[in-house]
Amino acid sequence: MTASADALSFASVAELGALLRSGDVNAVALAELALARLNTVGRGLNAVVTLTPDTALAQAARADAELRAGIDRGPLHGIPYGAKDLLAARGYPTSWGAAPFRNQVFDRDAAVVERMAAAGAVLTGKLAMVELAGGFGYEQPDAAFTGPGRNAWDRERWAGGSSSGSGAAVGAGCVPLAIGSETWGSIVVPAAFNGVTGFRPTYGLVSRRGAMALSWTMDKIGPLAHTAVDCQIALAAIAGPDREDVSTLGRPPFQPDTRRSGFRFARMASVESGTEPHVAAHFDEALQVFREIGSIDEVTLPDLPFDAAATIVLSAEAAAAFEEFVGTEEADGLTAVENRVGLIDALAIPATDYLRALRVRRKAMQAMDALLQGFDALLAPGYLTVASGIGERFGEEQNDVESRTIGGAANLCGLPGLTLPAGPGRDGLPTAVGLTGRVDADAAVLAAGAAFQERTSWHRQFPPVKFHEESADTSRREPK
Amino acid sequence: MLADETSGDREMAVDTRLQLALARAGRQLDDDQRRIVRSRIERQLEMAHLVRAVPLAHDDEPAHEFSPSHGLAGAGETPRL
Repeated sequence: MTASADALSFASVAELGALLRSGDVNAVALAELALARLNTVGRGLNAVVTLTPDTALAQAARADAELRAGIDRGPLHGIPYGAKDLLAARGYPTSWGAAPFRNQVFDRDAAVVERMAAAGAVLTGKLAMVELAGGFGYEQPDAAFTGPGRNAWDRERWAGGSSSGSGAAVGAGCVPLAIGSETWGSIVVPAAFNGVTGFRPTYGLVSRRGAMALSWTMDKIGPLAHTAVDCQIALAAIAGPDREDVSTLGRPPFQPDTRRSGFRFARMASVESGTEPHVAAHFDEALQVFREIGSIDEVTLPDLPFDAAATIVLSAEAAAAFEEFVGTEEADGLTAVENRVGLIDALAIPATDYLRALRVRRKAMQAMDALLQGFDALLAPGYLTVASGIGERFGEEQNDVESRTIGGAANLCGLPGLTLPAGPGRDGLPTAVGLTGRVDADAAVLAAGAAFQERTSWHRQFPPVKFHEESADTSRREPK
Repeated sequence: MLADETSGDREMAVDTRLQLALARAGRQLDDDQRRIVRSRIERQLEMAHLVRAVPLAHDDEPAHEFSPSHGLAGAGETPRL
């Protein structure tokens, strides 16, 4: 290996692929580096549940042998990655982030783990998450048996949830790519807080077989990486029909969009209340960049109770999915006190309320589709604030039942979403810009993100050297 | 017109749902836990109120799909509790 470990730690998937093919680095060396950083930096951030060295080194050795033999599986060949610990990996524990399930082992890989392997990617670890994907009503970051997810930029800040480890591990340069999941905010928030790029695919584009079910009609699986191009590479590998996940049937195959200009964007007439000044300022700067690659029209979110409908759907489905667990003594083993009685309330949601929420959902889908028709993406701040403190309880705004947010609307309606780093905000922490597309506009959203990142360098800024030297005796590479 | 559980009969609606939830969970809760569950039920009712306020026609169907089939290969192999 001739490239330095520091230079490799924050390299993108595309850059690592070029080094692998030029012979400047090999897959085993990349796997060993990722395993070492996950074990030091990653564990220091509570981002790791289980390392998978046997699988990683075997997959990496095979990747090297294949490249030597002229067999190239594509852009993920030999690339290390981590998987959120709600994805089954044969023979390893799959804890769902929760102590009562910490010894659970499945005898078959999740569909996305299978597809990543088929694409030549190297599984280096199972990454930490908020217990049971946050569906039990947690109210503060200390809600995982691995400890509160710490932020890649500041250990005293939260990594976001529920894909905490996926966001932190990529942000801190442990792996160039991670697979997370989102029911409502669980990819885009950790991506925003850790200064990485995160993509939530259209519902049904990626198989959920072998993933923990929280909400059958809202769960999505997607990548977190340094760039939109890397997310596109990962999505191309994991998207596609699966007869064992009926939500995937009928979705068109993913085809990348190569456009880098000529986009049509929408933005909401006003940013959501509670947006921090730094976040709003960076959002305005980002809009200038988006104007270079397309047009921007103002739109207004339809007057529908997106958040309320999404909460009812999610709660009722989660209570059904965990009916044998909710309220049992086993649930007392959950880390967050408030989660131990989580979803008991949802056991009493009448079927008529659930069905009414689903009827309103159809109205919402129609309204959002009409709103986004003719646009490649709707632009909004990626999150209203920078990462909160590791010991802080969440704000009251999270309990505002009357709110109508793009996150609630997007997840209720199954829309794709991309979060891009947008520059440092309060206390030097990352801010983000978010893109939301129509159903099946995944490729357009990713292309717009790639075009944005060709004109900005926020995605090439990494956590301060001091932090890594102090926390794990490692250092970062300098941004290009 | 749907009854509005957020006004007149709100307390009764909350208490009824709380009793149902506790019966289904099948366990005793301490006062703090009971307060958490009760507060979540209050919030649940407020959200239901918002959703019920959306006008719907008789033929507005739920956004879920049912496809009769002969079953799918591998069904039942996904991780379950």
